[in-house]
Amino acid sequence: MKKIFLLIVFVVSLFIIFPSCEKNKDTIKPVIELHEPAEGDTLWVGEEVHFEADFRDDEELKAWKVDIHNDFDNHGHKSVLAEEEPWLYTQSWNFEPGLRNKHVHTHEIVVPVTVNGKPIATGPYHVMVYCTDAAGNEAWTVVKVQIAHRP
Amino acid sequence: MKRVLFASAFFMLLLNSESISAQKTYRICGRVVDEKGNPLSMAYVTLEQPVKTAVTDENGKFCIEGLGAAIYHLHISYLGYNCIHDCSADLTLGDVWLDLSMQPEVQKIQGIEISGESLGTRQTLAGLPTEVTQKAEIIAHQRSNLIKSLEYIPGLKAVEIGQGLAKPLIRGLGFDRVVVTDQGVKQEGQQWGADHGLEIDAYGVEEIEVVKGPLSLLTGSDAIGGALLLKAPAVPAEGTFSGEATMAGHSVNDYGAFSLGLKGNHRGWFSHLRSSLISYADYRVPADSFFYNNFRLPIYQHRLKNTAGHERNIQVGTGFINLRSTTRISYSDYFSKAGFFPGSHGIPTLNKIFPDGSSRNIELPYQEVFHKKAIVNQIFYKNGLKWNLTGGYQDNLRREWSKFHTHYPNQKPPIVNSDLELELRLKTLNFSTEAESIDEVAWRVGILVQHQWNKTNGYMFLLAPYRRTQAGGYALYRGGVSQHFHYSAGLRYDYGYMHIDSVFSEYSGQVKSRKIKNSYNSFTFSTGFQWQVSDKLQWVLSLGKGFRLPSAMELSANGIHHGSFRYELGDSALKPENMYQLDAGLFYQGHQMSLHFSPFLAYAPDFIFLTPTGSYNLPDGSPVAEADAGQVFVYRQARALRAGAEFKWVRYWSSGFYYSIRGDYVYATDFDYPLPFTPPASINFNISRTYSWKFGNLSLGTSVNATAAQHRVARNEPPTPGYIVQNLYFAFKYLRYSLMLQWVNIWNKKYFNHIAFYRIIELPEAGSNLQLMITIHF
Repeated sequence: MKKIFLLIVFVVSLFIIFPSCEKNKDTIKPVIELHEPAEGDTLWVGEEVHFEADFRDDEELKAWKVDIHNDFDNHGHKSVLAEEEPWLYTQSWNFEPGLRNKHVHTHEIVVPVTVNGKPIATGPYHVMVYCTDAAGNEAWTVVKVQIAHRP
Repeated sequence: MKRVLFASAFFMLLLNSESISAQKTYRICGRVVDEKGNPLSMAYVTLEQPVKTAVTDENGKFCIEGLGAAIYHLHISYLGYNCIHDCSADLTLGDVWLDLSMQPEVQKIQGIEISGESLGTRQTLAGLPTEVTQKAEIIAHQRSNLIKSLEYIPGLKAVEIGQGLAKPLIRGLGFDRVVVTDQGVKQEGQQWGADHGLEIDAYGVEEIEVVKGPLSLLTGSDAIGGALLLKAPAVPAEGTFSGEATMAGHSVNDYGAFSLGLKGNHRGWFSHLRSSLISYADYRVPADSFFYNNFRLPIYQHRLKNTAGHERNIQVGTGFINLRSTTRISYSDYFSKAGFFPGSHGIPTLNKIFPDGSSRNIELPYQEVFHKKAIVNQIFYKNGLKWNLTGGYQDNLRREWSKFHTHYPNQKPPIVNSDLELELRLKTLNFSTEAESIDEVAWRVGILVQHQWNKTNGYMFLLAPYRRTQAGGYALYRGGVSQHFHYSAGLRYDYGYMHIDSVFSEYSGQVKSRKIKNSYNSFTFSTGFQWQVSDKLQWVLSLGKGFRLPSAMELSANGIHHGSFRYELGDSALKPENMYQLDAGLFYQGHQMSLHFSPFLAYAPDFIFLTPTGSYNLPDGSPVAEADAGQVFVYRQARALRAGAEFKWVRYWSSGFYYSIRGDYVYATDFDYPLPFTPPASINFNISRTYSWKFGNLSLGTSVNATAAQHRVARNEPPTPGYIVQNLYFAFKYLRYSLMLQWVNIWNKKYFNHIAFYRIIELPEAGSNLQLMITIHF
């Protein structure tokens, strides 16, 4: 009986001191601080979007992505008119290798006047921002904005 | 049949002529009892050579006289009970008295019984850790679903999707790395799906064998992590008709269930029926908000919206049993409809989780599962062999409904079933034959063939249609070096063929899936040793290999996984996955106590992982066509290591006092990161007291489950804090009535389950739950 307990103690201690075989373990997500556009902002049709964000990671940043899509079906109020077309925007960028912090300020994103030859459908949209680090940990954030024609 | 028997008897007579020619005659007498010790009258006791039959009297006694001094083999059979084939009587030293105890017939599908069974663990393959659990035990641990009810078995965990659906995880492996068989036929659903649950009626289960190691030798591809072998309903005893009605209710989700079971046997013709109805509403959690990805969102009325569901099952079987064979045809039809918390599909926003006025309705998103299964099985004894023939057909239809949304700018909702996101239909045809010699030293050989068709539909692309064929053959030898030392060794070969159709997406203008025609070969082996050191102590050791063919998802996925929103990319060059597992085990059965300890070590040189690339472009550099996609994940193969142990300590007194401690731990790594879905270490304390009297009994008990935190996480998997939960238990049994009352999570503790489907969106587990179950036998 004693021997058995000694064996159990031996095996259990093996697990406790089990060599941590994992070398480059990074499971910490990057951090996205999205300053602009902010929740509730309006993006004007035909104009540039003021985009400003800070990306941070404890090891190394890899890539970021912006995804703008409509939020119409969530409400049930706004139906897409046949002569209007919702806008879908996706674009990704890579960070220069070795970066831990990056402040991004760009006016590259432009809200189009027409989509597939039809006028853009205005209304609520989601702006999603994704970011990955070199290890493949991913963070994302989302803000809800309105797309409207400037009065 | 008779001629063969006579021929073999004559042959044996020649061999045994020496002993037969001895002048003095002896006799074999004995008594046959059932598992409770009641005498069985009219049981057949048959001597192999010379062929002599005796029938037991009303006291279960029999005598066969006029036998020479030799060793005789006997068969004992009784309708509704397992035949005893391995009984021998040594008459060289005089008359023999045999005390024989028969067990009710619970069809052994993949089970080989090896001596040492008294130690509480029966082993399918020598040395492989196996636990057999009966209906009574499953009911005593009843939880929201069948797999959760089995969690008291160390090393087994439930991956739950809300309350109603779950799939098994054995020693950290689950999904399509654990096989579930029902009556010898592998259950085929959508095992790789994150929100797939097991399509089995929890109330219809009578016996389950849980194998915690590679069982590919007997069940083929996929049984890398282990297997759950569900046994066919027991054949009812001759001339009986009985039934059972069960009603159950759970407070946490206003769960109500009714289940009826009927079975009868008339002159060997038997039938059984089981039907269950289950309905549950949205479940309650001990929280009024959850914090996900920097948003704090409310949980209205402490209930998770749209997690209600219902289930409708029917299972019928009929057949014929006689002394030498059992034939059975069974059919089951499972239907379930279960809602998903809307926050788990896409971005959880306030308007999605606002109450809809009813906690029992099921709105979008939800899933529907239809699973139909027909099994034909015949077992017969011929030429000293036990033959087992099984044919099975399964039709699994799964529909995911979600409000039409698209990842392409130009996709319009379909005109018919516009909210049908995904439809997966898998049809499977199986056939297997097995022959096993019924001596102690025995060969067992078998062949299996399986063919599958998978079709897809819906506005979302996840998986291409495919066809898959598998065929395998195996041989297993088990023997004993001495009375105390047994071993088994087996070898298996499998061939697999996979054909995946090419799919072109008109929205992305890309080929989503290229045509794939792959064939696979695989050799598997298993060896095991069992050493009965003394009456009390047993050691076991086994080394086995499990394999798994790459799934259609792993080979050809190319799109956003609904729910997880990951962009998954398959690799058609993936090879079969292999895992080598070394198991050791120690069983100690002392006076009113038992101890069980089983460590293991497993290594896979080619484990298939879904690995994040950190990139938003496909590996060829082209951007992902779909909107709403996160980073690209690719399937790749690399080495992986798993190690861990389970233990169980049970102590009981004749006064009815009982306590047990069970625990498990798994360490799993790919040498860079821990493997995802690795359950944290857990320990379970259980104390109970049973009072018995002439007509019934009463038990009272409490159990405490302590689960450690899990900080060893894969990328994009959140670490989970530890927790302690306490449950109370009360059971009362009087004649034909039994009542069970359980109070689960009595302190209404808020905690997270690391492997739960809703863990990723930071939803806590269900709160305090009062469960009542009443069963009437008639």
